[in-house]
Amino acid sequence: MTAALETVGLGKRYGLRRWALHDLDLAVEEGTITALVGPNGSGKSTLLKAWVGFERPTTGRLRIHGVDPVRHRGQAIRLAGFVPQQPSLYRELSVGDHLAFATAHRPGFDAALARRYLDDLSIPLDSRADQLSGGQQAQVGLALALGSRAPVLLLDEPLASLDPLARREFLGVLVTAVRESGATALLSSHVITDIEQACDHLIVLGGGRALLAVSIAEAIAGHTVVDLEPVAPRPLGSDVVGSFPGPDGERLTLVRGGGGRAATLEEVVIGHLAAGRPKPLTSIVRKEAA
Amino acid sequence: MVRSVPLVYRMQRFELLAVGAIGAILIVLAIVVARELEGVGYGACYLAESAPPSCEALGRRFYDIQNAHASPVASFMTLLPYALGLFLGAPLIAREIERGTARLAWSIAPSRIRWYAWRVVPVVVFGVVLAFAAGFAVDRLVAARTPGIDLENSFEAFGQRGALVAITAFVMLAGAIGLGTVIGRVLPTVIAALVLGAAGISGVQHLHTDFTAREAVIVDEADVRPGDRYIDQFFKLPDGRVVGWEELEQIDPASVASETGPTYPIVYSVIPAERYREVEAREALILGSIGVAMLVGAGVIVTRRRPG
Repeated sequence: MTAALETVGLGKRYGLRRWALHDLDLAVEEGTITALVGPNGSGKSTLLKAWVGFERPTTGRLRIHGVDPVRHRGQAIRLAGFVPQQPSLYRELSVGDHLAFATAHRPGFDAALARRYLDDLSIPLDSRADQLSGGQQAQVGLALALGSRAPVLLLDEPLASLDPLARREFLGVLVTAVRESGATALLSSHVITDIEQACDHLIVLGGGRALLAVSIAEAIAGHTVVDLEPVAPRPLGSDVVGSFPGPDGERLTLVRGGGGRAATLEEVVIGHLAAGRPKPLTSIVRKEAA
Repeated sequence: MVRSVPLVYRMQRFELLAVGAIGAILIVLAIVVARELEGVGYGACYLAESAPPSCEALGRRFYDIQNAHASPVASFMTLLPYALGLFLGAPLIAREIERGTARLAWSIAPSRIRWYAWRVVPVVVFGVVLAFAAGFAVDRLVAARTPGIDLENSFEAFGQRGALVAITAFVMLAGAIGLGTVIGRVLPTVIAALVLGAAGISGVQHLHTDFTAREAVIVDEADVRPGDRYIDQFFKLPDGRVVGWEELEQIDPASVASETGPTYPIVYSVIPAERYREVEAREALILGSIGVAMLVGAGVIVTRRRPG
């Protein structure tokens, strides 16, 4: 498989000390819809912005379909449709004006396609942007990205401020469009149910590093959960990923491979995020063995 | 891309309407007041060596209009290029960054510099055309306030009329746009542009005045014409030397200390009125070049900065 998005040893430092991304090696396969998951400050937005040239890496390099966005930002922009967390539309302009704006500035912008998506969602073209709901604004942002017919879509938590119905509609449009066009999408989100609905691959970021990068099927099949509590000093072994609190306050631990009950995608994500915290879990024992 | 220019005007319709309306009102007022002054018919009296008694009433009416209407309109007209530059220029890029629309625009447009030109040129054209109209309205007002003036050959209201009004507005616009690209927030940009713009323009004008003073000529008091640009005054000594007050204190302290003061003839250093167009063009060139440099600088910043 060819990588649509790639980073090698990528690092981004803000100020003198704070590293948002650190020595990050990643490859996002062409034609996939990949979820980018991580806690606040894990570097998700920085990574997505770097691919459209909004952030300059401190170390390493990155490519979008083989193009370096630092050296050839214009080319990189042509390859990417970017949807930010806040759609940030021009509040003085109508939806139709936004399509005219994109047509004027983006070579090859498919206004008819964007208009079709908006028509399907009953978003009137003559509405001013500031009269739209948050969900509708997000849809306009997505329609602009889809209308660009870019081979890569980068979505920076576009669902964060949407209600469940708006999220479902947004993801429905996204998945349909991506499957139809064969594009690659990288979707940053905190909502695991959304990821399960829309994505086929998963990247977990923590502390500026990639903690996990696999298909969602592999992520679920490759992990189990055991009911454990941390007790020093007996180590369980290298198959331990991380320990985290369960829904009833019990201590759960995610392990690679078998040995426990089937893990949900949420447990896989949380287990890896727990492992990526500054003080990683090093010593646990099985409850029944203790 | 040209067909989408109306979008630029729609993006900034509040400032454009407000500044356009205020500018249009002041232009119309300036012309109306000029016509009012001309309608009094005081010009012949003003220019006559010995005015007939009938001129007294006309003069009273003329100066009443000057005080009540012409002076306030002229004062507002002096502020117009600064206000115009500030309120059109400051939000132009700063608001895009502040509201996050720059992120949307720069993720759509592969060329930021084309986007920048598209965003800036229509507003600059609007501002400069409005300021040109204001400059020529002030010309008309100055002509009415000073009967007999030859506008082509007079430094009367230098810098506050004609093409220099448009150039001043252009420099303010360019400076405010440039600061907005650096600061990325509207209110701090307005404040910074107000302080730096006014100080910068008056600084450049001051430097240009100093430079122009080197080209001044010395004329006798009787030879000074109303349109000449006054630079300084001196004393003419019997041996032909021209000296200032401090120099005279050393040469002839007694005359300076006397009750009547120095009795030497006073001479003036002036820029002759017929050099008005040349000096105006040079100042316009200097300020215009600074404005262009600031717009280019702002464009470079747009291509390099983060969208916020």
